[in-house]
Amino acid sequence: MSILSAEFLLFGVAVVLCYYITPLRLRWGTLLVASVGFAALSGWQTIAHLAALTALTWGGAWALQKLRRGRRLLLAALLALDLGAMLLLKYQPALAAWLNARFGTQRNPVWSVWELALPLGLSYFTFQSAGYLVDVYRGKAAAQRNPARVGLFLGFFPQLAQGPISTWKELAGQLTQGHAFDPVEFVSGFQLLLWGYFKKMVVADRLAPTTEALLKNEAMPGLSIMLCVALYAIRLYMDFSGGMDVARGFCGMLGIRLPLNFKRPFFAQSVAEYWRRWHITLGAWFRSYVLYPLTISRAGIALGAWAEKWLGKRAGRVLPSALATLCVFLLIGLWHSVSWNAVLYGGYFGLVMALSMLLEPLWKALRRGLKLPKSGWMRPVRVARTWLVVGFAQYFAFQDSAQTSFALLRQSFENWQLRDAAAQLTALMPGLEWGIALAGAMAVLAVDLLCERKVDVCGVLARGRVWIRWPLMLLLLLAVLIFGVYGAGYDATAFLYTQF
Amino acid sequence: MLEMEMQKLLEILRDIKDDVDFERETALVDDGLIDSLDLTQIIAALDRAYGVRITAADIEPENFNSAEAMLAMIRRHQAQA
Repeated sequence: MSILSAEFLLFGVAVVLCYYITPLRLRWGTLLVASVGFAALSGWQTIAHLAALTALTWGGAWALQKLRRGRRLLLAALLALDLGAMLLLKYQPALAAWLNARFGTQRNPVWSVWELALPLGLSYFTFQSAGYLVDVYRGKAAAQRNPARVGLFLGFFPQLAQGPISTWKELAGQLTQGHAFDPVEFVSGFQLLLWGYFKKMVVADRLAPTTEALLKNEAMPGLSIMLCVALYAIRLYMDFSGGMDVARGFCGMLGIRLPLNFKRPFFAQSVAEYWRRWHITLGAWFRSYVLYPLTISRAGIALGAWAEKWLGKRAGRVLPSALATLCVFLLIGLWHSVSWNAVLYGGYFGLVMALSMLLEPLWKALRRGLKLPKSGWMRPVRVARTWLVVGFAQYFAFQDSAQTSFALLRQSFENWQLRDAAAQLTALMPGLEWGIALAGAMAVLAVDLLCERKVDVCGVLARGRVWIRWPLMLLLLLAVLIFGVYGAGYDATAFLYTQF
Repeated sequence: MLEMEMQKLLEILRDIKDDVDFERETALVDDGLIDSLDLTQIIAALDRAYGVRITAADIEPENFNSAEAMLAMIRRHQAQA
């Protein structure tokens, strides 16, 4: 059940009603029942995997807390099971295909692919479980006595499909503590929910034909290719952050605050900042559980000391971080899919980040030499530079074949006739649809700009005057209802980030 | 003694990042004055200067928000060793 479907609307309303009529200290039970129901409706794989993972996580955390010796080994075994199950399910089709192509024949395959549907949100709850186990090992979280509470933390339904990936500290307490009805939080949650639907259904889904055109592999004028690739970046932002707004808004209506996953990434001054604003919780997970342990391990510190001797102070010091960053981005790439494009996508961002770390003194000297100001006109220039670097990566983001990506890249520089591009783009969808999508995108940009200027738009509206708030909300609701894109049976199209 | 130890730490920190007032700031991590790259460099430098093994479990804002907090963490580790 997608959180955009008509069924989910009914489900959501029922959950909110039940939540507030249950006695305060039993409210977490309502969330648990709803989450079990949601997972069951998502398919038996989801509920079975979640149940098994809950048992492993609950028992594992207890053992990690109780044991005096062998904790490291136990953690390694738990993580191998936890992450191993995800890796196996996610990557076995690709692995089987590769093994069969390499060592088998059509009649005698080495490994016959299991046709299993992936549990919904597999990697999100796997990452949460692994994070919790490591936190218990590190003494940052206490093992929970009640397995049902661990299950709720892993399978909490609003974040099941696309995250965010919460830490135990951020979420578990909030889920089990009952929240009293707070009208301001309820209204601002509802506003955020509507805003998410607006981003997803009015902007992201309207822009779908532009991505489809790129995937068709038909000859297109270079200018339209570039525009469609840029629009893919915008569509992805609207789609993913819209989904997050729906989830965060819904939780806000229950008094639960999910961590922020997007902080207006397109205003980032650098690629590093972009990644601190885009899919924030995934970045935080990799930083805590992969980047830091790699960089400050004995090997990492020894590497730094060795490199300082040979490469100089600065380069030597940052080398371990630069290499660990490259590893993390390769992993993030492969997390998206097993393909050369995923390697190129991750490797590209990893290299950009690693080089910017290693060459920082050079950039600093250049800035000083050219007398470039830190603020003022350089800010939009830096934002544009980030756009270019990130935009380029999109060529490798929306499809798996590196060959097609490179072909598209080459075609982008051919045929820059304005008339051809205009003809192709208007053939893609009617002018009215372009108008709606672009007006919607401008509205999101305007609100993001206000937030960037530290105006708490949601809070101002929620606390503001009734005669401003309600007409505005009605307007937003009407915009979603009238201008939103609906698929079969009034359901919106699936989110781009649910297949993980 | 305390003053001298503090001076030694401040020198190490300034050597890594020279445009931050480590003596006065009390929210280095929370205010984003030091990022993850600075943090890992600081940890490596402390490892070498004090021989303390700082692990990922120590990476919490409250341990790195000020020079004083870092010194307290170093002492804790030295006492445990």
